Amino acid sequence: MTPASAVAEAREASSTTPADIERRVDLFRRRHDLIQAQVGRVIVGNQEVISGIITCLLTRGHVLLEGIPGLGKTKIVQTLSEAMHLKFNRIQFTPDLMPGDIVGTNVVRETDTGAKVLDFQPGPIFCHLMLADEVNRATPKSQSALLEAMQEKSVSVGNTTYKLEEPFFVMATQNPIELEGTYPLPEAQMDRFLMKLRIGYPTEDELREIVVRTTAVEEPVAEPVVHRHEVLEMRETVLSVPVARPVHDYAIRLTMGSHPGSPYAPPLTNRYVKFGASPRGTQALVLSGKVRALLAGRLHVAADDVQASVKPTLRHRLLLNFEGEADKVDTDDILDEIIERVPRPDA
Amino acid sequence: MPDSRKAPFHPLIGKLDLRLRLRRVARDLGVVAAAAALALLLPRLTGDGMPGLAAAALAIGVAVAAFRFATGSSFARAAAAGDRRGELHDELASAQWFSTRSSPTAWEALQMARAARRASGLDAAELFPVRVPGKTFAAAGVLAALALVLPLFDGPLLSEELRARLAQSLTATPDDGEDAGGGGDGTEDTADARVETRSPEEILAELRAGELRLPDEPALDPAAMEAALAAAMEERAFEASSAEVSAALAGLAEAMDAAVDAALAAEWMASLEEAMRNANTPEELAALLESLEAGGEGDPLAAAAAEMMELMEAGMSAEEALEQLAGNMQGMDGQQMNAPGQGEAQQMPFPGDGEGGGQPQAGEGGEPAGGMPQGAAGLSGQVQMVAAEGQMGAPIPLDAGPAGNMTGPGGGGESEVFGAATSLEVQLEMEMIPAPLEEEPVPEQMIERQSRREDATVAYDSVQSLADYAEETVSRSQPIPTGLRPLVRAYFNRIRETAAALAEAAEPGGGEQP
Repeated sequence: MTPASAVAEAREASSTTPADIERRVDLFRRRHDLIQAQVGRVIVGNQEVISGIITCLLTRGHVLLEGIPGLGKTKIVQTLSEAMHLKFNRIQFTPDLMPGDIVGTNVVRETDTGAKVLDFQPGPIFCHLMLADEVNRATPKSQSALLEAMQEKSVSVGNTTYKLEEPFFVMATQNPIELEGTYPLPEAQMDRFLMKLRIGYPTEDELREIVVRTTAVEEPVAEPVVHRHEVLEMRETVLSVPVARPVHDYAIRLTMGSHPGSPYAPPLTNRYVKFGASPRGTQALVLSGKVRALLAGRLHVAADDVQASVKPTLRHRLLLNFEGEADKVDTDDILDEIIERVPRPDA
Repeated sequence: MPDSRKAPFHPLIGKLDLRLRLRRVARDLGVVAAAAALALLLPRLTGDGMPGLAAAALAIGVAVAAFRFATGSSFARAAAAGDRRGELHDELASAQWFSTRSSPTAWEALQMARAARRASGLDAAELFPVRVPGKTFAAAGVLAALALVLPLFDGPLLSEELRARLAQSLTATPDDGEDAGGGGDGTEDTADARVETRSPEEILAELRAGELRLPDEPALDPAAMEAALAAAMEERAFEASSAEVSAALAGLAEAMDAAVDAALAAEWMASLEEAMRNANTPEELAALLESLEAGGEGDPLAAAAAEMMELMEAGMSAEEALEQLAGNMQGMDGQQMNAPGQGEAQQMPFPGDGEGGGQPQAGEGGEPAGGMPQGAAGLSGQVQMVAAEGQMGAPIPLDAGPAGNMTGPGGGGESEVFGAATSLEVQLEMEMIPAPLEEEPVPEQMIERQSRREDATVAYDSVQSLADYAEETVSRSQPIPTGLRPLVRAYFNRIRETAAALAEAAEPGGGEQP
């Protein structure tokens, strides 16, 4: 797809006649499938994870990937960036990483006239897709350098605030084991991730395919298939999907089910949860539901779309109390009970 | 309520709503028919029912069903039900909701158009066929049969006796049923048959066993019955007086327990009362006295029992004798009663072991364990054990009486048996911590500058409790090894309870300061 044709498509899609809306939905699905197909050339399996990452990209969110070493977290993110014509940077988080190493710093520069001026040297955060590899290995000071960038899409250095170019998308990875010498992400940081996706072991067939692909002379590579403006247009399409009030109410009930003491909280929540999901959780539920609806070719969000998004969007927003930590409770179990107990629309 | 505007999918939702209400009413009518059939049948069975009860029940049920049909309309619910049944992923429900908006967006309008197209291909009868449940058919059939058959018979359907039994069974509580089946036979007929075949000896055995319910069947021999009852009453006369004595002893023990110096005496009286309660016959009482006397001189329990026996032989009633005995015992010196070597009810203070689980040091071979010095208090404070009954570890001869906690001589016979386990009363006391010594005042010349009191105040509700802070610090700073998690949890639960108890005690009038 050439840039000229893409612009023409975007112009066409911006109108609001029923035919245009149908075309936008169709374009959305095709582009999504294109990206997924390119990633699928390199990555074996993990379709849910890939779809989740794309969902986060298209809903102006950020994604946190969690899995043990060697399962391809970094590879997925790298491949996804290769499938889009977007600027990609990778930062390997280490304990000695400083905020200036992420956002940039003012350096002294000598002008042609011999005068010395402070010049801002942008850090690697000035990109579209940023991979924060092993984000929990950096100190909280460096982790917090991402806070403003992730939420406000801007960076403040000295007295100047620099706007980051859209789309700005942070993909962070962390390792649930080897916690020695790590700094768990603070709640404020966790809440800024739209989803927390877990990468599991590949199946037998997937493992065989991985070995075949990666031990040959030529490894498959992904080709860029989507441009920046197309990504932005897909974002607009997502926001346009209407949601009926009963589905909104269902998302709200699900969120409140994670609040201890609320009328929708199941026993597990009341027993093990210290703090539940914030309003960002509800937003994440609805936005993820919109992407799912579009991918299913629907123009409305169903309760099933919201329900399917509960675990990836809320699992990292539940803060367990001491009893929950001591009993090693998995937040997915609590969310399972919330899904089971919270009444569906007009149930 | 249904929306006034007519979207293309509204007819389908309207049909779905109607069918849902019809299905609900069909279920309701089953309940109504069953209630009406019961109301029709019950008065004819018992003979004293209210006339027209069945008709009233039927009318009320039909009215309720009609009301539910008329008021149970909900397009949103019908659309949601249609979505579920047709696997439409909330398409109808969303369209229904979008149709209620005053100015739907282009996306919403398109979604409604899609829903209308989808609705045109759906059949409400296919999604929700109105089927009357089988239970409703069965209940209606029973009702119709009763309505046809019952007018053919005049009067009550059952005999007088059966009606009485039916009425009794309808009004009987579960407890009544248990009482009626107390003999274990289950039915009244079998109970009657068993009474008729019983011999007077069996009746006497039953009476001795405590079954005082007398048979009232005329088939029994009145003379044999009277003789059996007389013998039974004679046998139980002592038991009754023994019960009275036991009650009096218990009351006396309570009264003596209130006195400071007579606490130990109250324990003895309780022991004596227990022993006398177990002695149901004069022979057993005599054996009890013999065993008490065999306990040797100086045994207060034996002396008390002997003294009581003497008083009773002198013509006093048991109650008067006990009161006299109690008066004598109250006059006794408490220190003498607590003297070591008394055998019974030694107070055995011992130090805690430092881990809260004090080990009672029982006397061995009948030797008392009293008189141990009180050592440094452990974690749980001083633990004081009072051996109220029997000498711990002392062998009891075979003829010492039926009760395992009876006092026996310390010497061992040829065949020694051990009585039942003695009971221990363990009382936890708060650890007494001496007040810290006051520091010597610092000389004025050594003070360079007096520390100033901070003016800052902290809102009461923003102060975090130390337990919460500690819990948060522990749980979040370092991963706790799996093996230590229960210990850490138990620790925090423990200090919370202690903090709550201290807070309660610190409240004005809430308790004493520890």
